[in-house]
Amino acid sequence: MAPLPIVALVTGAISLFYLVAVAGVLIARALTTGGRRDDTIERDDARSTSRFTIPVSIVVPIARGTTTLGAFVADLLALNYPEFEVILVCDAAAPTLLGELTGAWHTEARELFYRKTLPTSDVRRIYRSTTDPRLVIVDQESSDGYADAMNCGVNIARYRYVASIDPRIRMDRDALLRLMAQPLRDPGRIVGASQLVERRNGFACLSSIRTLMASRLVWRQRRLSLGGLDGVAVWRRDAVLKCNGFPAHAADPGLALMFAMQASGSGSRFVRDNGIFGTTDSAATWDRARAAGMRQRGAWRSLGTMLRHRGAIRWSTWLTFAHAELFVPLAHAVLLAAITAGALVGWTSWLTVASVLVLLAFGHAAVTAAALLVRGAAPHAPTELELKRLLLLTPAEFVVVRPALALGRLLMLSGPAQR
Amino acid sequence: MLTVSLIIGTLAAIALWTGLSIYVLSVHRLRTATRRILADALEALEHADLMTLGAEARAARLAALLAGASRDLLMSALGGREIPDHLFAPLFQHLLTTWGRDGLVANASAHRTSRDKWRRITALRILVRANDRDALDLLARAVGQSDIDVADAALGLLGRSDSPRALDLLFAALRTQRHPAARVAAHIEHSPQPVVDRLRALLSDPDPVCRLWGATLLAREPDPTLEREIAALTADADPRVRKAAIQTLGKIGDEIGASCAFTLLKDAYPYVRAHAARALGELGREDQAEAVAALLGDGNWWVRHAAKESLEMMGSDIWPVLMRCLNHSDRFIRNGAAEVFQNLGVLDSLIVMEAASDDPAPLKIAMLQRIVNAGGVQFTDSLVERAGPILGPRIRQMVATVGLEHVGAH
Repeated sequence: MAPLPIVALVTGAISLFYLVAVAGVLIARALTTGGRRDDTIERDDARSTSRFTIPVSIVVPIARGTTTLGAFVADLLALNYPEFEVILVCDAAAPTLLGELTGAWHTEARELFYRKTLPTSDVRRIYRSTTDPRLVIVDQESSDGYADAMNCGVNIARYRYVASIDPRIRMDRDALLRLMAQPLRDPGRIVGASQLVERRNGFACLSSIRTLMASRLVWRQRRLSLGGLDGVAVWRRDAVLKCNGFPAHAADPGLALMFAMQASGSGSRFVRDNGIFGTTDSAATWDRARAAGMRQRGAWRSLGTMLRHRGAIRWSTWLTFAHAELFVPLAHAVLLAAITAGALVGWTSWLTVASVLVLLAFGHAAVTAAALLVRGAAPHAPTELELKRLLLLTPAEFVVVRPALALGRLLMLSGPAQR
Repeated sequence: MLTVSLIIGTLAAIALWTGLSIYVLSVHRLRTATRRILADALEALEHADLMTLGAEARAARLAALLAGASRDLLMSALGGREIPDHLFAPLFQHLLTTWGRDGLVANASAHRTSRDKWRRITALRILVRANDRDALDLLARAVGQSDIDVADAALGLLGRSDSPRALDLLFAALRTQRHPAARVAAHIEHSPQPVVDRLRALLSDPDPVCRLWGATLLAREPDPTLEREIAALTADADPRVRKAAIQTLGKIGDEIGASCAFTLLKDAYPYVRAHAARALGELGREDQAEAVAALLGDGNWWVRHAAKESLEMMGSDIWPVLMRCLNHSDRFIRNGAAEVFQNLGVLDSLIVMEAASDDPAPLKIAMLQRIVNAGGVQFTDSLVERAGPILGPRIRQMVATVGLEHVGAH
């Protein structure tokens, strides 16, 4: 047999073997763990009312063109947490948005002299609510994206921890208490924590459930962690400043900062909590593909961080991260490419290609079914009808969604830097 | 060969997915069914006819209702706080009758896996609620271990207890500092028992961490006799203790507290100075506004911020002090004073009065000039915007007339 077909066959076989092994391990662990709720931290009345609970600054980047926030601000201000502030950082706030906020919260322009520790775009105006002093609105002249907005929020933030929450997220009153559960355990060492935001409909819901499984079965064991794609994060402010803030030109600023924080040494930890912060609607497929691409790019760049800070982050941590973000998509791509190339040049048949596609689809579906088991009895678990619908969707996800994600990754590898 | 192998693999994947899907659905149904068992039992317990039965008959009836319930399910129900006392007792009795007390005590004593940890915490909650004779010993053991989740749960249970021994254990945990003192302090503060005397004893503890938490926790005790004792700690060698003491004096102090705060405005540690400044604001000591205003130019941002907050707490009567800051050579002091004027509402009152009149007083205009000069261009723009569409242009004109429009503070 000529060398090229052998190479294709071998790489394809290695990829298939890797995927089967990984799926097997995940499914076995899911079956062992089951869907039991192992919550040991129930709602803690003392912590929710104690003056010793560390205060949090919640920064909400608001995209240009946003004209309404609906009940989001009210939901934030109703959070059950002893002390916090809400900083909305608007990219050239629309008059209708400012009007809505003024009407609801009686905001007025108030200059605030703050430390401009991190460089950001100019601030046109700062508004404060006269009815709820916890609410601050920052109107940037023209924001340079998520990183810029977050850095602006970090500059203005008063408190030790800074959380970033997307305005499309719906949460219950105890969400912030859950998010801060890990940092409150060890604020000296835990420089950040993340929790999943679950997407509630469509194929994106399946992706959320798999992310939750990874948090519960894989990341729980690790001393250092990295947050998942869909989530909210809370950061210790001094650690953010030490790393010079959210990197403006990173493909995924949050991910880059997670790496930088833990690579800075001194035992700093970023914890990936296995709880659920809140829910949000599924994004459009192209937005998901773009986000996956940005994350992929960030993941490749993280390898550079690893090499620059050898020893600060364990290779096992990076490999755990790279497995889901890089190796699995790569294995899918390599396997399909090898087998399709083989069919095109006549080494294999199209029946083989179809078999591999179906094998990957149902293998992926089996892992997702295991993830649904782990999702189990956690709050707001799917009903039986929803469960059936989700299970039936699982085989189709690989064929319908994965190609879009793969395209997004390919395009983003060479496209514009940031989100 | 390759194709055949792949087809076999594909069929295996389909079978695996099918099997897992059926398993997931069956687990869900089983979970729903077992929850139904518990819900039905609770509903039955609420019915008068069951409650009027004798203990033995009720137990037998309950046993029949809970025949399909696992021990973990019962523990989960009993360990939550939603279940009322009158339902807790018969369910707990059923748990003991069916599975015995020894198993529950063993669960509460130790753990290895995460599942064991859950059982341990749940068992502790159940035994405490049932006033079990070994509950406090088990809590003491839990607090003494390194697992933060177990310790925190135990501390929470101790914090809700009205047993004096529970308080002993909490204070012992504060002393040993095996777990973050703030967590222990939060539970001590929520204890239903009187703690003043114990906290007082901490004030003279050789460990500075105990002294600082003693001072901190006493902030909730409205006892005027404490002021002198806490004031003594403002001269402590440990800056954290000084900070805690002055923070508490800001809440419960009076003359002595104010005097100590004034002294600590010059402390070497910024967080001590910051809390001293705040204490003076909380005590409403307008006579110390000058000393606090000097901290508007402190090298540390937190101190400057605390000074601003303190001055705002003192109220608008301190405006002469702020006026003197407006011409200061240090721009932080000028900016800070302007911001305090803004936040006190003095600026807006001044503007509304003068801008609305046909013949604004020169003195008032000069005052306005100095404030906006200190605040800068954006400060002025915020003022104009705040004034609204009618007064805003007049203010802009006033500012332009005296040549201030493009003047910044730095």
